[in-house]
Amino acid sequence: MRTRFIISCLIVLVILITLIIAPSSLFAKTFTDDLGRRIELSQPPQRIVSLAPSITEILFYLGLGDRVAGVTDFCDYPEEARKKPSIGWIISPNVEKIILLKPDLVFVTAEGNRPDIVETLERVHIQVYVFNPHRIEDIMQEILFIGEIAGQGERAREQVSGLSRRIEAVRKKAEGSHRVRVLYLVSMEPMISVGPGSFIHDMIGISGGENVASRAAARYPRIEMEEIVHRDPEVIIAPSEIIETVRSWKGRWGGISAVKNDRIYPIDMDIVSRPGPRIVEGLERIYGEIHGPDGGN
Amino acid sequence: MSLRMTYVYRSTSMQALTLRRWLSAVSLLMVLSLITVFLSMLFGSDALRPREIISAFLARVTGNDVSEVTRTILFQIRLPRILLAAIAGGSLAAAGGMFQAILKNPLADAYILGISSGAALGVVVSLFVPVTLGMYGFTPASIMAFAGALITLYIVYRISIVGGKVPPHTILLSGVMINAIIFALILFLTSVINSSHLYRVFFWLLGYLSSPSYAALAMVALFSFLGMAILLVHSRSLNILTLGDEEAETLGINVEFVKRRVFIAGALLVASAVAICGPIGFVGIMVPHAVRLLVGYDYRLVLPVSFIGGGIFLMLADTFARTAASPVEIPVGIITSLAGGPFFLYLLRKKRLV
Repeated sequence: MRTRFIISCLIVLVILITLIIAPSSLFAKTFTDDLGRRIELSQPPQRIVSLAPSITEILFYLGLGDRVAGVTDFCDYPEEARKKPSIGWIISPNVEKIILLKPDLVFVTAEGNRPDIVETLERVHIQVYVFNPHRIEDIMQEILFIGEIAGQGERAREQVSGLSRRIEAVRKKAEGSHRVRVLYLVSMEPMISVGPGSFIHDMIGISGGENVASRAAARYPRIEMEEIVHRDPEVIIAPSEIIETVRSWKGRWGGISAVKNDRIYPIDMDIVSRPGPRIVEGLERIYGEIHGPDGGN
Repeated sequence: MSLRMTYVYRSTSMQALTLRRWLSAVSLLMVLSLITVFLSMLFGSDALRPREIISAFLARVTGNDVSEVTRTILFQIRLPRILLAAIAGGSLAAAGGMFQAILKNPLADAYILGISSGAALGVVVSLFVPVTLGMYGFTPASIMAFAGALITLYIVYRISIVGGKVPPHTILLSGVMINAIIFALILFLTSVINSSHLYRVFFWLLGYLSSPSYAALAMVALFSFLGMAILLVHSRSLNILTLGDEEAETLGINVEFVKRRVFIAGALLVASAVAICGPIGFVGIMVPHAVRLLVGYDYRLVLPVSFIGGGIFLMLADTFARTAASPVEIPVGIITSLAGGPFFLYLLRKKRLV
């Protein structure tokens, strides 16, 4: 009888111990990234290296800043990100530096990073997760994923629903009002605008604008003055760096509405081109610039 | 086995090339090359000190414990990259030297017959192809680059055949024109794809070394050694070809046969290098000239010495490229071009062009 009691105590003890250590081993999961690659993690990543400024922003946005082990030279937002160890450029990161940081997960983008870097990291058994966002919904999914993988799923869902509400709010406000013709200039010489497939094109659409370059086949098409004059944009939005050049052209713009009414607005490039949480800020800015301070004419 | 060949070429004369001279030159360079490999291993991301690296090497012999991370960095990242520099640099230099001889043009480099533009076109086309087609550790981009390079050389060769022969000036001009046409095509294609791909293609055009897998390295080595073997077999004929096609014909050389073989060798050498590293500039022009200044004009010596010398040069350039602005990695093509320009001007001033 006594031995039975002891054995059952031991069994209970073993079960209790298993239950205590189980949660971490229950995490052992396989994820599939945007390129269909399999990533296996036995526990939420503690040392994360980000090879894109947008991903760095997402990590800090989700409160995972202390788990960020390395960033690129171009990861400048938020301020804390600049203090993190740098692994070089986005296009040519220093693989040795990445290995020395002993990451358990490296985040990469399909567009900005080189595929051979991913292969090299795989070769030395470092887990790499590749993102490939094309639309704003993809960015929201990206934030949710990173939250999920890092064990911050709840917080990510909360924050993403907040962001989605703001996007919906802009969409609703823009409904019904007249579609404003917008020219977004990525660069001046040569003149390059945005086409379908780019985030900015989407944002113009959501905020009640009509992208004058919407007939283009490419995401960042060259645009001719003829086309611009023909479409007569009411608003011109361009990055702050080139806004002076845009304004100085005056007469060369051929009397288009945007120039006549002096509706030429600068915007911070980072908030409209980085596929991260600030894209919603970019959307709200664009809405504000399209519809003017009175918020909708 | 001593061969006596005397030339009077401008004001320089050639020494007799004995087996002894050949062996001493090549072995001296091999030793220099090995030293360069070792020295290059010492440099990299600042956290590794030379002492640690030496003990890591010794560890392979004595079985001492060395940190996993150090071992990974040294033997999975640094060493393959250094070896790739040695092989790619050597291939480009030897091929460049050969093209200079065949085309009788001191400005010829490894890419002159459209090989680099063909490879670049391959890379651009690969951007339209789904990502999963790699094999043997080669990305789809390098496979397409390799194919593009070979196909372009073949096209350039075929369109330059005039009456059964391939005159050097004709093929040179064909190469230049095909280069231009293909680059126009590339610019057109890049204008319809989105801008981040454009940046990637532009970066590729600078030429950079990234750490290869040993499987990929073995493939490149295989093509290089095959190409070098063919070149060495025909190096005596190359010597005679430098006199001129007709002169060589009268001296008993089957000129077109040699040219075809040697072009194939050049194609293998350059295509494999460009497919992995992009078109790294100046190695193909500079190194053969420097080598000729040192050892003369006998291609039986110039080609192997260029191969080893080109390897040493690119290893040193790459070591500089990855440490000068650490953690930023400067593309090695920028370093070789920066070194090449002043060197070329120096050559011009001394009027020592071949």
